[in-house]
Amino acid sequence: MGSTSRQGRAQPRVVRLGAGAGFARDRIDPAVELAASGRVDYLVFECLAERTIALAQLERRRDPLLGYDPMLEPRMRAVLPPAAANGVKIVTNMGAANPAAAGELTAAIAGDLGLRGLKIAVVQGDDVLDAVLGSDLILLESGAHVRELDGRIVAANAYLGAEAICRALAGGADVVICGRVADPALFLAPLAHEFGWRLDDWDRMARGTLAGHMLECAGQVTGGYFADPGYKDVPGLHRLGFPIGEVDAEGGLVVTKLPQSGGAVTPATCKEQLLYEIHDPARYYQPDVIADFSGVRIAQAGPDRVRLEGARGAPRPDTLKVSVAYRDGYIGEGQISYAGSGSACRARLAGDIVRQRLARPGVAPDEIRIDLVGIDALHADRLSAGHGEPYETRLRVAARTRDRAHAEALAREVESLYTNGPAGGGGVTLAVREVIAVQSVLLPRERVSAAITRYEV
Amino acid sequence: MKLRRLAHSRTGDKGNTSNISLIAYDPAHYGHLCRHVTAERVQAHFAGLAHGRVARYELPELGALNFVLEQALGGGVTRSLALDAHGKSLSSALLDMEIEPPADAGGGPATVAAPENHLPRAEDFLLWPPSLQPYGYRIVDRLFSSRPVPRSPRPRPLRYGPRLDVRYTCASGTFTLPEFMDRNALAGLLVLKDGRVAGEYYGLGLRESDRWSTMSTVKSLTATLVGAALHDGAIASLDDPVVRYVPALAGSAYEAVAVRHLLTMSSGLAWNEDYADRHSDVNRYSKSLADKVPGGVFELLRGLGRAHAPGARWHYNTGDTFLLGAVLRAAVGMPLADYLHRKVWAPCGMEFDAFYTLESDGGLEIGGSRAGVALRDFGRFAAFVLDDGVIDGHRVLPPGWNDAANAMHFRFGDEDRDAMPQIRSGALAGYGYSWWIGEDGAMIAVGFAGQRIYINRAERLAVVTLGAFPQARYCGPGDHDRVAEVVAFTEAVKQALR
Repeated sequence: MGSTSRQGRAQPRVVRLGAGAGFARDRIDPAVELAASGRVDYLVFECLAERTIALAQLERRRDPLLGYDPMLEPRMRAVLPPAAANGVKIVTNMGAANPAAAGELTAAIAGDLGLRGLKIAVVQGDDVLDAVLGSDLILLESGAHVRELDGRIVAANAYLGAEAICRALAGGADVVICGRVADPALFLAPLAHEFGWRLDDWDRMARGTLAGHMLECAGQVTGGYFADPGYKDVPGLHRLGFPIGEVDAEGGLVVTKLPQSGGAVTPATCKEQLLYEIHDPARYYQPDVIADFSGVRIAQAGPDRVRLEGARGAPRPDTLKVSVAYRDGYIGEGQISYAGSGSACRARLAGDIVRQRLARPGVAPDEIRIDLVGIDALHADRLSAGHGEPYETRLRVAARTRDRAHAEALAREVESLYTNGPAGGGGVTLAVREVIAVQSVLLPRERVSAAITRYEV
Repeated sequence: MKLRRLAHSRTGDKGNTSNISLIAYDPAHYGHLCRHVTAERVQAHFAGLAHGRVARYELPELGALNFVLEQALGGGVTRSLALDAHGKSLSSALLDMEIEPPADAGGGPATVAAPENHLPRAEDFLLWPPSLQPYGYRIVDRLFSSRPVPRSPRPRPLRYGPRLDVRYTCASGTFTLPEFMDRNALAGLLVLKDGRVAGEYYGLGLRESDRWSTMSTVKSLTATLVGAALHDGAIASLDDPVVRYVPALAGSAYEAVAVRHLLTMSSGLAWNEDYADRHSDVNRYSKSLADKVPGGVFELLRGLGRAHAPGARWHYNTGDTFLLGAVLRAAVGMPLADYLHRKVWAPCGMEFDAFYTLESDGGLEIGGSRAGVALRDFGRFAAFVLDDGVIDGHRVLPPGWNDAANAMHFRFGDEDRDAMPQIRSGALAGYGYSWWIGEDGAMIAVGFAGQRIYINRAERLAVVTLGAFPQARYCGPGDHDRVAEVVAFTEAVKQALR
């Protein structure tokens, strides 16, 4: 793959970014399809949700060789061969809480696959736990001091920007593996690198960020999470393709997909994705820029081709957002189903029984929630009212507790409905999990420094 | 119309904050969305789910709005106990919101954007042909504004007794129960004897959870709430003047009318209750309700003249019961639907949400016509009356209320029988507190097109019939008198269950 490096080449007219994953457990086939197509220069895998890195951190504490994305190995084994054959570079945050281990594993896999000369770069520095612990930083959500979470914090990771990835690419890397990086920066970095954009060219930073924002959820812009039969129909959803962003040197973006893949790229799919997880569209805070998407124009430019332009940028913030993850008790959950006439009545009675059995001192949960699935579980009583009663009803009881024993007690009370509750309950499922909650702090960016480690196969 | 017809949506989450985009299918509808889908309205739509501020951002280039709802995710995805902790499904809830249809956006002929569900015309509610009645009476809440009366948190199962076996004889011959259902276009029949169900039948495609139109039988329900309000002390006396509670009618012919007069249809106001006459008062009232004109019914009532002194004569007047609902609303200080839930629906263990229809969007409940109730809950209401308004030892109605409601405050004369043929056909002898009194002394709630709740306290018997009687203009010569046939059936049931 090293032989296909673009270093020293004249500026290309268009850089083609493929999205290889929109979340940690995303489908692998569409990424392989993109890598094999010869239609992309980069394949970017965004796999790290807000809380995932904290769970990975706990994993790493159990085993110092773990803590990276559990799907890393199958994904790399499937994608590296076609990517190497077509000179496709890979950028990903699958390093999670252990980018170094992820880099070593990737190098081992590449060796195993006979991909000689593959250059791997690992970006580290997002782990700012030491800088956060014992600091007097303020949590944005609760307004409390970080100190008040004393002893419960398990991870603190800063959202890095594009700069370190740019450096890794400038060093000739074929695969760049990061931990926590702002999702759009995974896409912005290859653009800045290829076009030689200055990192204080705010409008171009905003346009590259727009490209990243549109692509980061992969299938969500090509017709995934969109279909609503009779209102919004999507052809070939079962073989949904992942998106390609074609970006020119000015940052102009066309979103498209492989012609043989299923799905659709239309102004409507792009509008939904443009506003996804956006609050004020004129002030989208990123480590590399404050982007303004409020004037973005969207137009069809051909079949499954949509052009987006008009993003603008303001200077980047002086601080980096840091996700602080901490232990916050446990959630116990149990479910049981009732069928036939009166199923809802029996499920309600079962819920009352569990509530009463848990109302003992010492066991009482901090918060309990009783849902009838299929009746009022999603949006409570008022919005769900008046739609009649179904043939079957599934009771779901969930509660938050201080310790694991109490969460397990709740689960047992639901299971006990078998022989101690209303007639005809069946299909009990139970779950108990530790709550890893996340809040944010802002850290001055000079207190965060990214470092790069390189491996060559 | 549902917002879903005009726009699509996606939800995103950050911590405890949810953002919900709303994107017009046709950019020409963007202005309409801006006018009608305000942050306040979205906040109201998600009341109880989203607890914080709602901000709205406008994106005219995209023809889209972006709503940001704070404290909307049960503490955030990591801590929330919700099944959908991300709130991903909130977009579908937003698209379920009812919105005014846009005046056509212009710019050429409209294209088909989606399949459309055609509903019968609301303002012709009382004039529909037989083919529309059974469908229309099941979907009243989709034709008019309504307010739910939530079902009981603890529904009470009905008790079932031996199955009723009955034949009845009427002017046309002798018939069985299944023949009774078909000959009379019945959608529902429930017979309760000594607290047990003796028969529960669904016809015309009615389902157990469907809320069938009460028509005027709800008058008796609303009147029962007057009893509850007296018991609570919210209404001091039935002799209180109506304008004490509803000052908007001061200076009108209602000035001299007392609550008791509304309860007994003796306000004395001139009112034409001819359903077949498009220009009658009752159809002008219906038109105002179909057009959802805020204050429209009060305006109509203010314009009525006086025909008799208050209390002097009985004259059936749906406007009077509307006003009775307004009096109650003011007296109890909460929407009628909430009061009905609190006093009757919750304690009686009603199984399904009912609804009152409203004068206008978010406006006053209509106390006198076309609410929606499921058949078994009609039965539970009848049982409540048979139990003298006492539930599990807790008294909701004042002692003696049902005796007074069941008393003959007006006895019908030939003049009344000639003016309202259903008095003769229905074997009705007089009128109590918005209950008709049968010749056999039963208290009977009667509504348009065959709605009837027959309650015979001496026999511990209730017979609920939900009908779609065809209106006179659709009946051929020699068609039978369905009202009289229901009376004959009821008489046979009474004998059979003794």
